[in-house]
Amino acid sequence: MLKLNLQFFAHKKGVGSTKNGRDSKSKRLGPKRADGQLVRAGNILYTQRGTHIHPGLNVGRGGNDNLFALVDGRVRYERLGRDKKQVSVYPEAVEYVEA
Amino acid sequence: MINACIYKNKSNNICGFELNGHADFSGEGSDIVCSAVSLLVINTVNSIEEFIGEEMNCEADEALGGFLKVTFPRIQEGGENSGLNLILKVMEKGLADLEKEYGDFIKVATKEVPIC
Repeated sequence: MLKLNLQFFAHKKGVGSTKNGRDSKSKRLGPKRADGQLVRAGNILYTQRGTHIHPGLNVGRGGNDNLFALVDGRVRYERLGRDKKQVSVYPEAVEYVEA
Repeated sequence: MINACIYKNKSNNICGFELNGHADFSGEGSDIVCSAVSLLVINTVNSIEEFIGEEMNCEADEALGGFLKVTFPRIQEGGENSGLNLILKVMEKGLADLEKEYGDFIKVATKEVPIC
């Protein structure tokens, strides 16, 4: 009696399997504050690798390329030259500042 | 691609068959062509063994799969068995219909075997 193997005429997994299938944990990079949002000095505005977005007015760039506010104020994403972007913080007298 | 070969003797009775290759319709576990062929062919062999009892030589690579050859020596020598022939014709029709629908994944050929 033959064993009823429904995959008798199928390619077996693991025979010459692929070498792919590995990936690193995603780092959730990208914008952390939106355009027009009120921020405090020190708030991180944008997390990135390299300068996808450049630091503008009152914005600092950390060692890991994160952009953060240097003053309390309102966030503005702007164009920088022909094909680059930057983020700036324009100081404002702020009563309520989102944490 | 599964290659199926049906052996027939001079009086057009099926006296054996051979299948080899992989359907390659999809990966293991989702290859519907492979499972259809596997069920049809393996069930035929087991049914013959259980209900007909005709002497048969069966070669199968159950480890890697993809190869099965069955021959019926007495029929090859010109013997007759209507029950056996009916079951084998049912299998042959199933394979032919599969080839009609999934011709890119299974080919069925018929070969006349001289009576030895």
